[in-house]
Amino acid sequence: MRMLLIEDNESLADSIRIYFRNLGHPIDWIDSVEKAETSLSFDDFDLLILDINLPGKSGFQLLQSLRNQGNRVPVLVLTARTEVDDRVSSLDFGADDYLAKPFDFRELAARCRALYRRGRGGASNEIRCGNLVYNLASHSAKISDITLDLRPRELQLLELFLKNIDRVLNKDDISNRLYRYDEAYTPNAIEQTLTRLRKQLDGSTLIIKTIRGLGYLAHVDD
Amino acid sequence: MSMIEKSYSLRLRMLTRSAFLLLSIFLILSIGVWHYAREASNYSYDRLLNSASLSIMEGLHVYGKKVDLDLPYAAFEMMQLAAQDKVFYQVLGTQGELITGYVDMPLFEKLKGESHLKFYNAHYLSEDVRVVVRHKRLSEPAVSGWVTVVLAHTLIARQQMMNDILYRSFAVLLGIMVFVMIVLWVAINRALEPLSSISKTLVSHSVLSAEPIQSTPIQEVFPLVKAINDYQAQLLSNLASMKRFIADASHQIRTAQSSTQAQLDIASQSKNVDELPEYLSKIREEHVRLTRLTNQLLTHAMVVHRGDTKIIEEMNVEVIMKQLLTECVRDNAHRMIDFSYQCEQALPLVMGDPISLREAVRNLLENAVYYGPEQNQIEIFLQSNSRSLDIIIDDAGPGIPNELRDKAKARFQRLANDLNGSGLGLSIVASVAEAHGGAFFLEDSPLGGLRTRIHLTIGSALC
Repeated sequence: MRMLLIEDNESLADSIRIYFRNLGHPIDWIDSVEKAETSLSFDDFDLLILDINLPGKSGFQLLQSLRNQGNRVPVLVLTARTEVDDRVSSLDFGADDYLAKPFDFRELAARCRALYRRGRGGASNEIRCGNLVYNLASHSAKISDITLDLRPRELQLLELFLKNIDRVLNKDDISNRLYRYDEAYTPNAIEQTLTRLRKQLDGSTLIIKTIRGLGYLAHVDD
Repeated sequence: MSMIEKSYSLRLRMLTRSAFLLLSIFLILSIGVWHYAREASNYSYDRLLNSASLSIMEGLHVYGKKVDLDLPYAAFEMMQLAAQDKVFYQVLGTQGELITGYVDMPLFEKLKGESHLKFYNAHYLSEDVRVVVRHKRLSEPAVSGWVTVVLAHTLIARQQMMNDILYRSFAVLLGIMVFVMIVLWVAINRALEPLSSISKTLVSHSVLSAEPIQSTPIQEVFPLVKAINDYQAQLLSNLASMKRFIADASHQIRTAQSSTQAQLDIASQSKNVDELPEYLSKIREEHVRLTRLTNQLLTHAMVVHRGDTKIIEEMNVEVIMKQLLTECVRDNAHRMIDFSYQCEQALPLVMGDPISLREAVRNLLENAVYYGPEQNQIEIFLQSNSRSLDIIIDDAGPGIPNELRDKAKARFQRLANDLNGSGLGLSIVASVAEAHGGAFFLEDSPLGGLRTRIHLTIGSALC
């Protein structure tokens, strides 16, 4: 994935660049919103990492103008302010995720990967989550290149979770997507499908957590 | 907030108001005095007029069949008391025929019944006059019937007397008024004196000195001095707790910083490259601790500030809790923690500060994860009745012994030294609960660990 980092602190920016290059991701660095606007006008990026406190125009302004132009590139906002207000408003402005400084680089990388996956869901036939690869065309899942033996319902459930990473799905959400009106289902059936799916996913980086009373949440731990 | 009223002088306002009041009194009194002066002058001159008309009446005689008048000069002598005044008279016989005097004297309407005498004001020969009409019944064999004497007198003397009385009274009234104003001026200045003396004291008084303002024997001023002193004491106590907080916070920050520094120094001295990863991991550990502490300090400051400024809005506790739990599950998906959420009934909207509440509950969830075992169980349980709402978080961790629970809620009280706690988490929760007019409790969890309970009252929040 090709990333653009917009950050005015040079030493932090250098560290981020080194970290991502070590992981094998091309990353460009720019220190102001004005320069970023020029870069974005002739180059395509898969992801923006955007600092809010910048000299001149603020990161919020860039975010706003991008969204107004209809640019849907995933944006991860970095903020040094701790007030939750800031985080909430950055999401309102159209950011896809936020991270408060100081942050763990591993977490930054994980969030970037999650955003990249979310952004590419529609464009590609493949969804990659760590060592799990799901092919939307052939409806097949592989863990580390070994194809999983999944029943149709399990595949549907897996696809549903992969499209809703880090979101809570309750039983109604799942049954609406998995069953037709005329099909009778019991909540127990979903539970059983899930149990089998979990068994199959053993060893993958995809975790499906049960939150009793709320629903299910899939998370990629890579 | 309404606009601040234009500044004004209390002294001037009191004086003008009392002057206005005195003036009204003066006006009312003046009307009374004027009335009295008129009555008095009328009374005395009417008596003269009366006697004069009586003596004219005495001068009436009957000669044969005619009534005749022997005008007694004494009568006019009586009227000569005022040199410029004129006298007019008219005497009418029994048939109403003119006996003597001015023909066209203004005659009052006929006297009725038994009354013999009538005074009234009239206008005659372009002068204002006071008139007396007197009747007498003649019952001689030749002439019988009523005779009439009309006597008029101009008003100059009366006016003079009236003015005399008026001027004297006005002079006295004015004198009294001026005197009262002077007394008021002195009294108002005297009454306002403590105010200026207190402000003088305050100007030279340092707020931060522990010395209170000297008390006053004046009973009315005493509450003011007491209020100022109480305010100062409160300010000092807040300042003292702030100082303590800063001292505690800097102690914590510097401790973490100096151990990081120490590890860095040792690492840079070390000639053995193999040892570096160990130092690095220690530095990382210290740094994580410092980061957590900084975050907690900033959160604490924010929560206290928001509590002080009383930011309130309607909040949907259920939505907040679901979001927080989702975040917590996402961040800890790799751990073997069982999460559960339980909300028995639809919760009412609560007035409060959602940002502070979010920070508080986030702290509790983080604590439950952080201090709990690898195989933990964390449950959020929302409970409400018409007057209160309880946010309960249970865990299956080691819990906090009963005797340490109060200590745990205090600032910078870490229960175990080897952990990365900042000693602020639970005090943040307690501050938030307090700012919402509620309370924070540490209890036993049915899961074997700690139960934390934020109790919010509905309706009275943040009032």
